[in-house]
Amino acid sequence: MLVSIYLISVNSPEKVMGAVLDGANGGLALSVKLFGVYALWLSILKIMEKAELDKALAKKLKKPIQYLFKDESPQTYKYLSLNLSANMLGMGGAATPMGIKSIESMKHHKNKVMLAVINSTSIQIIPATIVALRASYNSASDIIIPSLIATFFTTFIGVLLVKALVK
Amino acid sequence: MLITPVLLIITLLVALLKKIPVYDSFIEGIKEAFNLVISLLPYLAAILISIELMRASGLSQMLGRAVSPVFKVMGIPPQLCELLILRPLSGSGSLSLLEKIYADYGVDSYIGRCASVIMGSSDTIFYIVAVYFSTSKDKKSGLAIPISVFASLMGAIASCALCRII
Repeated sequence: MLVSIYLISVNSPEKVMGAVLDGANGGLALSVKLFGVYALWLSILKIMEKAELDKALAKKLKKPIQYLFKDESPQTYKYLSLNLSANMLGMGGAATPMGIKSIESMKHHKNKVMLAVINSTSIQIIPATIVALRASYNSASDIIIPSLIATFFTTFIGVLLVKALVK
Repeated sequence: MLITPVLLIITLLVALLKKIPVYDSFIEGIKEAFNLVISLLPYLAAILISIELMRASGLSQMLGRAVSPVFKVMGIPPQLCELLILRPLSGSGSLSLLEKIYADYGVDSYIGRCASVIMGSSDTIFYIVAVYFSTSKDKKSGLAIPISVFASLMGAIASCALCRII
């Protein structure tokens, strides 16, 4: 941060104000965008909660989640299962609020780190944005299978490291 | 993608079948979303300001040039250095860089495919960790960022190797 401010002041001081304003405006614009996404997903979550749909979903992911995240409340496990399944389907907008809710209700630091690592190493099954962008460039080759292997690999390494290194 | 509308329809159908008040649920959800966004705003603004400064100052390009010999040893083409550095910081920034790579090297070239796999198998680490830990009681993210960065780097090496075979 300091280095970039120093560099920009030496090279092109007229850009500092612009960059800061761009960043701040971007923050606000992103918040507005996120509000729409969260409003939709949190509402769907409410309906799912009342319909107890999430309980059915949570049951399927229960075993692996309890292995990865030890000793948390049933409420936390529920949010976790929703966060991870949304992530797998590439619904980043749905995953984030669920992830925030599970971290808020978590007791153990290790589990918080585990959740952040799993989320930030991407467990998306189909990288929809990338596939769409490639299609718009008339791509002939397929990247879904290598992406799937790479995604599995990164998350696996992340999980191993958290298990081994974090107390 | 079709997933979102399908999920919406299923949810609404289930709500109808189980006689759940849809409108009230939406109002509750929107209220929660509003509070969530307000609490996130300062963190988002701070992150984006530092990313803009890094890009505008040329620091991310300089870092890219500095680390490219190291990446070369690991089998990562130097053309992908800037993408690798920007990817954990900014989703929209790295997506625009990916588009530039498609335009420059071709979408089906080795570079283009490597870039796609790297983008598809990694995520905006710093953003995710900052947002997730912003509401947690202990703000310390500990080893979350180093572990994610290391795992993603391993993934990038694997991606470049995979694209040679597949």
